[in-house]
Amino acid sequence: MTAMHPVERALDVALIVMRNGGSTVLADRVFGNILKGFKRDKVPTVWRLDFVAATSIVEGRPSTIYRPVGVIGINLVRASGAARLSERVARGEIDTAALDSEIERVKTLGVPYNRRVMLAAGACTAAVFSQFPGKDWGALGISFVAAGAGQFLRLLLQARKMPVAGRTFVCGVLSACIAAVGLRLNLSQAAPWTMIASVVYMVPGLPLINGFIDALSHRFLFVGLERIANAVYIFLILAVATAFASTVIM
Amino acid sequence: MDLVAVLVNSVLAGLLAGGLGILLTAPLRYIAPAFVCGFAGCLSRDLLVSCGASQNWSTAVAAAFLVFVAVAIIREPTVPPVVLFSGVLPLGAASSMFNAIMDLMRVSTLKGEALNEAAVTLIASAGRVFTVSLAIVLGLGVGLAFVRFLGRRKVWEGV
Repeated sequence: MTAMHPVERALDVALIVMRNGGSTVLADRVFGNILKGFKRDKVPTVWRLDFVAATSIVEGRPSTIYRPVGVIGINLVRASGAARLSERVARGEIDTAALDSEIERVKTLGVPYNRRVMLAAGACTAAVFSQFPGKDWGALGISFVAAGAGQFLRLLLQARKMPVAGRTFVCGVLSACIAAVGLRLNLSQAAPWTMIASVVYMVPGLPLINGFIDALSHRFLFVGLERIANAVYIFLILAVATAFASTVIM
Repeated sequence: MDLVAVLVNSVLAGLLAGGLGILLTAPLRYIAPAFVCGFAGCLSRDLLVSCGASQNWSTAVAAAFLVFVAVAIIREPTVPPVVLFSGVLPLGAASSMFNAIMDLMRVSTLKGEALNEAAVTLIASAGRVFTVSLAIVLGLGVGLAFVRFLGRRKVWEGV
């Protein structure tokens, strides 16, 4: 076993966290836990949203390993699984020889909700959001249908690995256009809330959460700010999609 | 105080928090806590507003209260941030954020009185986004500080 092996395994597990919606704080803790399981001290690491670099001493010479982060998706069960695995490794409950198979097991953990549940959650979240200004059955119906259709398309495009920005815009335009048609037909008078509710299922909650967690930790301030900037960018895309639908249809 | 309206609003906030939890792929065991946090946060804010407190201070207190609720109901060493944020998002100023961005796009094309009106709306929306977000961050910060001081529970390091 080379000296780089523990660092590589630790990066593998930490990257599962990064790629599945975990914060950089959590990824760094996972990295440290795995090294602890190998009885190794923490090594200097650079965390970014596009790559992670860790330096180790191999045969008396410093050696740096880079790993691309790649596309960041959302699967908190997998991120949580990686965090638990690292804690078990740190406590010595998992033999380091069995770690590779455990990493593969965590990588295969799926999203806990199937397509239908995600579709229903998107539609219902939008319908609930539309009711905050007051009971309005028209707004509820419009938001439910608009968000449901948008979420359906979003899941399809997600399966085809379409980039986030394009996917958000296309689904945002579809949802906002359906909402605008409903408002044009006078099904509801609460125009701004209904339009916003129709795209609320795409609000970038996780990048915002992780951005604040990273930024508040101070150690990952720039990664956190990058995540927050990404979230603002998604908000901007949604606003442009909504404005486009309002201008064209209403 | 219209208690029924406050309760209805709180249930809606709970449902919204639970729905957001699912959309954020939070594990199933955290969906009920997200609902309770969303409900408790909105209920405490609306009750405080009904009693005459300002919207921003009520939001800050509600965010802090939500942290205590999350710690009380989740019997694990770490309280996952996804529960806290799903619960706190209904308190946020999402609509003001959208309005601010849309007003920002509108002001570039308007003239005269319409421009003045849009500019005032833009400033109001942006101000609301800022103050509500600040109140939430302040409330969460105070709540987390208390939890760490009293029970030494970890909050941020989970999923």
